[in-house]
Amino acid sequence: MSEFEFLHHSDLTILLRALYHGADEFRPLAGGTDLVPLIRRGIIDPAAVLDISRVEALHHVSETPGSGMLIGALVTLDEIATHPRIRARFPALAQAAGATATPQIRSIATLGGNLLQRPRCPYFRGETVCWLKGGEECLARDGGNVVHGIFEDGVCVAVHPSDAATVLYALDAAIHVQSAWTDKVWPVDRFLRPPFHEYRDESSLDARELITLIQVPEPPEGLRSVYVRESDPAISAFALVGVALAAVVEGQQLRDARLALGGVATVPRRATEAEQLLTGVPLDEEHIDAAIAAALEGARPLSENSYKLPLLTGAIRAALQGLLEP
Amino acid sequence: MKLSLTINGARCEVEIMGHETLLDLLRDHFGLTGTKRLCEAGECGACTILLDGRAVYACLLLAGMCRERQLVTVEGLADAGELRALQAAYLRRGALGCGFCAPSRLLTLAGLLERSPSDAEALQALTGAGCRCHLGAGEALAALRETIAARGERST
Repeated sequence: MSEFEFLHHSDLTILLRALYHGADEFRPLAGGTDLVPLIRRGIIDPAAVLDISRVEALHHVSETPGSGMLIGALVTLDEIATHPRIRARFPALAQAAGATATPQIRSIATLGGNLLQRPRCPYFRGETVCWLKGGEECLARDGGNVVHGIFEDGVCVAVHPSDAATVLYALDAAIHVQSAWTDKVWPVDRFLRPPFHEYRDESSLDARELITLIQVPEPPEGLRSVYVRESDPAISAFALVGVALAAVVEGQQLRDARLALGGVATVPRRATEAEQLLTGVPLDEEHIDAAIAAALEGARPLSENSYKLPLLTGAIRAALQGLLEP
Repeated sequence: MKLSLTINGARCEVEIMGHETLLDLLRDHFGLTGTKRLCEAGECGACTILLDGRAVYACLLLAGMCRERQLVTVEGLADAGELRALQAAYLRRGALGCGFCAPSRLLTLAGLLERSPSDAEALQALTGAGCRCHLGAGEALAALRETIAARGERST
């Protein structure tokens, strides 16, 4: 591994100032489960890592009436998976966190880091210089693309590897970020965005900023949620597709339906037309088929991943069933 | 930088480089080679150790992240040369296989002892602990169950 300095502090203000001045050379380090391999492979080469993992203030889960739930960026996936209030109020988030990686990684990996992890595309992770690493073209497009996206949103066809991100899309989460001089709150679907032009990463985070909180807004009374993850350890440790569905169930009909799809593009996607088609109608075959058709509208599988269409279809059906029969 | 931490019950102070991983520190500095170096990408699990009682991968942690933490490696599992109940049960059950994953599986199980895991949770954790001879996890799980049962009897 190339050499770098290790800096640490437990005070957020001091860390933000250090990051402000060292932005181009420093990398914040929380759990390190993605950062360390990225450095080892030479994909990033910082002069120093800035260990933020001991900032107590970013390690809490709190609830405020009317503001929903605030989850500190440093809360680990294991803590999310086992947190009684998260399990009770937003089961899909607990399910997604608990299905990610292995327990050994979940004990360390943080929710903030989980959103910022980089794609698992073998061309990006390997020694090749793909477009995402500053090269001329995406090598997966005409190469191996079994785990890649089926919706085009730019040059790169890698998928965002986070399970939790897909659920946060369905829960309309907000991402709070802070630098030494500014605070911002992003809707999660603007915080994550496809890489484009010279911005060859998957988030709007500036190098001088840290994620501080993930806010899950107050849900409508009775909101249920479910996450369905389809994976095959023989192909990848990451989800091949993930479906997050949240809705209020009245009788056998849905209200406030939100459907998010992961493993299909560089960032998760909300299937807004499908959401409308699922709302306030009897959930019979005809309506479900129409919603699934709308969710898959515009999909253009690559040479090796057309299997993702039926996989996604099955996952959406399973999510509907999981929501109706909890 | 100077790092202080506790390894297998002994307080240690050591000078480290910023880019050293915990795996580097354990093997190269302390000679604790029961923590295996294999994929160095958090994929195989052969470097599992206990950090403040929780199983984690030493290859993914920078040594500096472990300041003031308590670590246990397989070398620290036995108590003054006496095998712990979990290790004895592991042996009795013939859970060793080729032996390569024994350190990481034992530490993974040790981290679960206090959490009364379901079989599914324990199996998932064992899957994250680097078996390379495809032994299966049934006997390791049985060793965990036996150890938890024996503890229950002692405390009643």
